[in-house]
Amino acid sequence: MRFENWRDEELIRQAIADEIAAAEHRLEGLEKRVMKALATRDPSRSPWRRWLRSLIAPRSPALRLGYALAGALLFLGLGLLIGRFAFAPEPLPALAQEGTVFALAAPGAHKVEVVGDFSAWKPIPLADPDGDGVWTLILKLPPGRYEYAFLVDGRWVGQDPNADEYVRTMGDYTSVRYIGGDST
Amino acid sequence: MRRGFLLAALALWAGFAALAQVTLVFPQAQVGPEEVLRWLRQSALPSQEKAIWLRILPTAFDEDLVEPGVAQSFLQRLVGTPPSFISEVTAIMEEVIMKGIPVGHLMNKVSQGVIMGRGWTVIANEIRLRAAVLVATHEVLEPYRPPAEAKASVSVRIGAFAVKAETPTWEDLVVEMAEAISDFIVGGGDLNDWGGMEAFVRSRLAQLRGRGLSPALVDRALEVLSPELVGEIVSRAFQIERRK
Repeated sequence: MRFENWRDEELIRQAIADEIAAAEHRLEGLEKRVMKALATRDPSRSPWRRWLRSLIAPRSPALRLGYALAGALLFLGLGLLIGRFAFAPEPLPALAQEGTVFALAAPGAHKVEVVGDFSAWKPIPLADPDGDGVWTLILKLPPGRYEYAFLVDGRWVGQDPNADEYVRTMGDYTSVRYIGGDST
Repeated sequence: MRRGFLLAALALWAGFAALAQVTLVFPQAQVGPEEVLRWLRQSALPSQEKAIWLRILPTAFDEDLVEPGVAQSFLQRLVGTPPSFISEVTAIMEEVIMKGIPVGHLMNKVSQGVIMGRGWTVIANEIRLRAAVLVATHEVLEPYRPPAEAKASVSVRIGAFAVKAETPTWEDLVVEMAEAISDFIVGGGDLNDWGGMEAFVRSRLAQLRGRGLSPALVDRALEVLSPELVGEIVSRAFQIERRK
């Protein structure tokens, strides 16, 4: 039995050796040919492309999700920044010169609005972009006399320190601005 | 993994920082007279008052007695108020409109009272007083009205709202003078202090010279303004009050 196995192995080895000998000429220059084939199939040989490719094909699915999220948000942020600085019709100081600034210090407030006869007493929200508690709004109003008040979290604030005068109506104060001429 | 989240957080921060600097405005379409009338037809106002408004509003719009946006805001606030309040306010406005006097500021006063959270009686009293003074001022100043007036208008957008800026007319001056007298009275001024009232009105008109009212109009009004004239307006207004 052992003898037969030995014979078989010998025959197999001989057959393999014959096959290799027959194909020996094809192995010459194999490494060069393989490298050449790889080089022609992979266009991303530049460092920039290799880096870009490493970003697109990261090492794990979780990492790919993170990059996708980062890319989307970066895209949003850049879009907003470009929109803010490149396509703004005019800078804020110029608007302030042309419009009327409504400003109120209301630290801790969640919502500040202005209501007045210029908006048929419908609330217009003020903004506090830097979170310093000073809420502002610029409105372009035609010349005239305007009565208004602020709503701080829905509470009536009728005495604006920047008002030209106050009037008392229905038991409470209302601020007044004169627009046009010397006072805007 | 960690680098990805760091980038995400950084981008989120940049996005919010940029967003915080931008005022987003969502403009609404300017309300036209037809739109207000269409809304009114479908509104839940009592049928009797609705019929009155459908009759008088087209006239008010045609004669520039009120801006469509102001009228709609006022009427929207009127819906759901007590029937007696609707009836009284409608009657007051009808009287003023039929005399060809602007009512925009009276409608605005109703809107103001509602947003101030005042009771219906308080608002009705205020409107009744101001309307009486307005009609009296209109009648007393009628002999001093200048001849023909040229009128032009331009619409100015204020955020989501549109304000019509017009060449000021005699009626605008009448409204301003009436409002000054009403403010004096409502603010606690003595009804019999005609001198004090006249000084208050004079100061108000001087402030409006070139700012909402043309200098020529104000100068003409200041010429005729006197304690006696103001007294005549107040007397007539409160006779009207007594008649009611």
